[in-house]
Amino acid sequence: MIRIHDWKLSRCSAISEREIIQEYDIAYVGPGAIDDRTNWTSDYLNKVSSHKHIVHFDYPTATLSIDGIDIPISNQIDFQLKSNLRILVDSTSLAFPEILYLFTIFDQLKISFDVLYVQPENYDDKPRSEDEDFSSTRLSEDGMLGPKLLPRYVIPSRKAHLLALLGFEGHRLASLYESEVLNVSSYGGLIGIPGFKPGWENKTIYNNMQQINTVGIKDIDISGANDPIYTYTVIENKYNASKYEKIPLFLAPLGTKPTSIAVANFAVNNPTNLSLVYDFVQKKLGRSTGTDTAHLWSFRCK
Amino acid sequence: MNITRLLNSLSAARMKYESLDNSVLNRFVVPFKIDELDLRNQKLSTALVGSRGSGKSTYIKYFSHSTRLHKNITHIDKSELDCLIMYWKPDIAYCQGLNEQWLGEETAFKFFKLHSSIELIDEFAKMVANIRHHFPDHTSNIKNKDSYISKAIFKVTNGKVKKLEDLESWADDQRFDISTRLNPINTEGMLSLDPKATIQYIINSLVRDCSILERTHFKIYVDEFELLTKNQQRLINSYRKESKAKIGWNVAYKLYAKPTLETLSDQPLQEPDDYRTAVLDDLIKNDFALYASEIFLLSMKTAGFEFEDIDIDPFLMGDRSKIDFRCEQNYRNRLLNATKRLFPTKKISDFSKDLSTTAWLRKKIDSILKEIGRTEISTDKILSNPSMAVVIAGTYHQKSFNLDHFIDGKLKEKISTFELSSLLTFRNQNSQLNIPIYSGFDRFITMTTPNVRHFKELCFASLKQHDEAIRAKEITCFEEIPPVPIEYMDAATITTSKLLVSEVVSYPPYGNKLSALVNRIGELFKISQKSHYQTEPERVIFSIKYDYANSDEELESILSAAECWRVLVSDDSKRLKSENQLTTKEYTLNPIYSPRYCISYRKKRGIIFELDEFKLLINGSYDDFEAIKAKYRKIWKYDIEEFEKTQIKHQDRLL
Repeated sequence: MIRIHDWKLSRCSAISEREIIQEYDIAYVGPGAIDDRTNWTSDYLNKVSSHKHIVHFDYPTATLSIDGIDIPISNQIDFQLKSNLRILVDSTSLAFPEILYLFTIFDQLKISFDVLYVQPENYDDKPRSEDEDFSSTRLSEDGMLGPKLLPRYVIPSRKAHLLALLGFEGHRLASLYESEVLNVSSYGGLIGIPGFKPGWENKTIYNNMQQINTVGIKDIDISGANDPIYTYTVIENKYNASKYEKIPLFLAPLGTKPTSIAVANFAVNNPTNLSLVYDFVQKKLGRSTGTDTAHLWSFRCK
Repeated sequence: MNITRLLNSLSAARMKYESLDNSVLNRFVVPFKIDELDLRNQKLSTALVGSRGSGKSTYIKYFSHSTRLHKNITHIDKSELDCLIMYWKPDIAYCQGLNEQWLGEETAFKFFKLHSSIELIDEFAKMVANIRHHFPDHTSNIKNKDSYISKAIFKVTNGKVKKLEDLESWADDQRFDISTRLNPINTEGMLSLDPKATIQYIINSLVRDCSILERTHFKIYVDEFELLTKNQQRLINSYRKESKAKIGWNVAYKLYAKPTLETLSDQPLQEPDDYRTAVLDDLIKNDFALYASEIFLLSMKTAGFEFEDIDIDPFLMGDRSKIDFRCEQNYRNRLLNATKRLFPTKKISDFSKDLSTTAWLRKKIDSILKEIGRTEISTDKILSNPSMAVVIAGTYHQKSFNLDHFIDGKLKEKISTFELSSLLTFRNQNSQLNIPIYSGFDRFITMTTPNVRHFKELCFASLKQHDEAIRAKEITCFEEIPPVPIEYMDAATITTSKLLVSEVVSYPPYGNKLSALVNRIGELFKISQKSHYQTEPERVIFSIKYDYANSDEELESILSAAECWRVLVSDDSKRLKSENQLTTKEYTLNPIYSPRYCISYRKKRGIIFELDEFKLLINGSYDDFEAIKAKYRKIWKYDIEEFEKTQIKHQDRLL
């Protein structure tokens, strides 16, 4: 079981001035910087960590690749680390599946770790012309796989409840529905309120409104867009309610990274009767600009 | 009658009708040509294909035991037992999630087989319950402790179930048990069932107990077949290949999907030896106007609208023996007239007539006559034939333009060809002009065939626009709803079209690409339609200089997805002249998207894209697309300055 036991946050500009908060032996990052904040984390990790390992999850082969070494996802993920290593996970550059399986490994090895996340100053989601209809899709490319259940979290969807953690990209929720692969009987939504910045929650609601109506979501929960701790509590309440009703719970992390971190954290702690749906969208180059607040969550294993 | 409440209750149009027992009793309107495709009479294994929204699942459910032997039916003829259909829609997310790389091929198969067996056993239990309900005297043996079926289910369930009545709750328990076995993977003590052997065993046992089923053919339909993994498809294909007369395996999938034909052996499925493909669209397209009307009116009835002049009867529409009655002219006319009255279709020439009374067209004709030096002809003379006036205004830039031929009545065909195109051009150029073309029942049908859902959405959206106007009226029945004004229908159609275009991005796995494709093709054709130089009638068709020989797998995959989702509609007709006849397919956007871009819903002319150019439409950047637009603006002589000048003049006039 893993839990957040400390949360530090600071403006990125302030961190640059103070240089280093803490040093690490290993940092796990996503492949390649795509925007200002991943450039920032890349520079930052060069300063604070002795080693950087690139992590990528490949769905078709169900393997987690760490610096090119493929590790199959199985009951016991075959991966060893020294217990006294100081580990940092850069969630800014990593996608949800990588975060999930890294958390799984650390839980398995009972190793504590820190997670870094940098909020952007802005997202590049404005339409280029008044005729452009697909502005909300400017943040990511197609997933090419469609929505899939992640290995280890595969259960029948019949009669299930799906809780979608929503972000700016409303079409991602619709694609779960349109794909016709899910047989869930009800949908719920979680919106990040307050958003990273005042007014951003309106964007989330606006971009998801059509889908919320189409899918027929009646229950909307809220939790701070950058708050994995409260999001965890909301998910936990949903999970307990589902258990009481004897229906499986499906989680779809389509929102901000902190809410995805909460999903990964919860999934590692509650592996049964829980399914995780992910659409494998590819982040677009230059999807955000600037750097705002940096969060550092310290996880401890019990 | 609370119209607003009733109209709001129609908003569920988007949601698919799902019921727990899979029955579509009294909710299915029997297509007129249903006898050409009675799923129970097919000798070979059938692959039922249909485009999105054509109602494949509903069609199978109509023939399945859930509907045929529904407990609400008071009398069932024994002939219903000649063939019994079991419907199985796999839990696709779960089946796809049984990743062989993660679980290993053997374990993945084991879980899939168990899942399918449990679902089919559950369906079997429901079918037997229905048979017993209607034929209690012929199925009394089942109750017997020593019956074949009791023994069979005892064996199949590993000694857990002795009575058929307990089979459904056993299936529920098994589903729960499976859900606990993948994290961590644990197959110890897990049931091991093969769906084909299991279903064959329990059906044969049932037949031995119930002589009434001796001649019964059992058919299993696997829905959403294309979404299963390749190996899962191979397993089902093996069952299809080995289908026997007694128990047959069949599948249903989307039109243009390409599921594998491989089996678990080295003998792939071959058509027509092993199976036959049946296209549902062909059945529905025929008489779509009446079919869609019936479904719309039935929805209104279900929502609570009363009908006084016509009898909207779900029993009649759902009874295939009444097809002949429904095909009679009297019934057809009454139903079609009811829908046509509510959504009147204005003739294209009437739009021209309206336009001819505006100062805008008068001024336009005036200036054209001046420009071509024919001021001796009076504007009134031209305007006296509104359709001609409109086409003159739309085509006077053409090199071959000859005013005298128009006036002499030699260009009647040209007028009918260019009238709609010219009206669309004016509408594009001048947003203040009131030309609500996207209105009326007939155009709704043209834009939506064969998608009933889209038709209903256009009707409901129009009614909602109308709602404000009729809210104050005391309406007691459907017939009292006043006809929806064409402006309302037009506005509703554009809103619906925009919504449907915005939906495209959520069509996995190429949502972004398909959305880019639709938006960019739409924008290009809009440029063509907006141009002052209408040298050809409406451009809405395109083809690609590509041989479709698998040299570009990604492109073919995207195009195939576009057809599967019916974002693009392909056509074999050759309207476009290709220099070297390399292009073998012609596409249009789904006509329901045409109002979004103010382009035509009918097929006339189009363009042939170079392969690289077409790929840029899908994958290119904003700047790439701007370059493509600039190129076509030039080709189509789209003169922005002239366009802006017209706008300014128009605004001046308004001021």
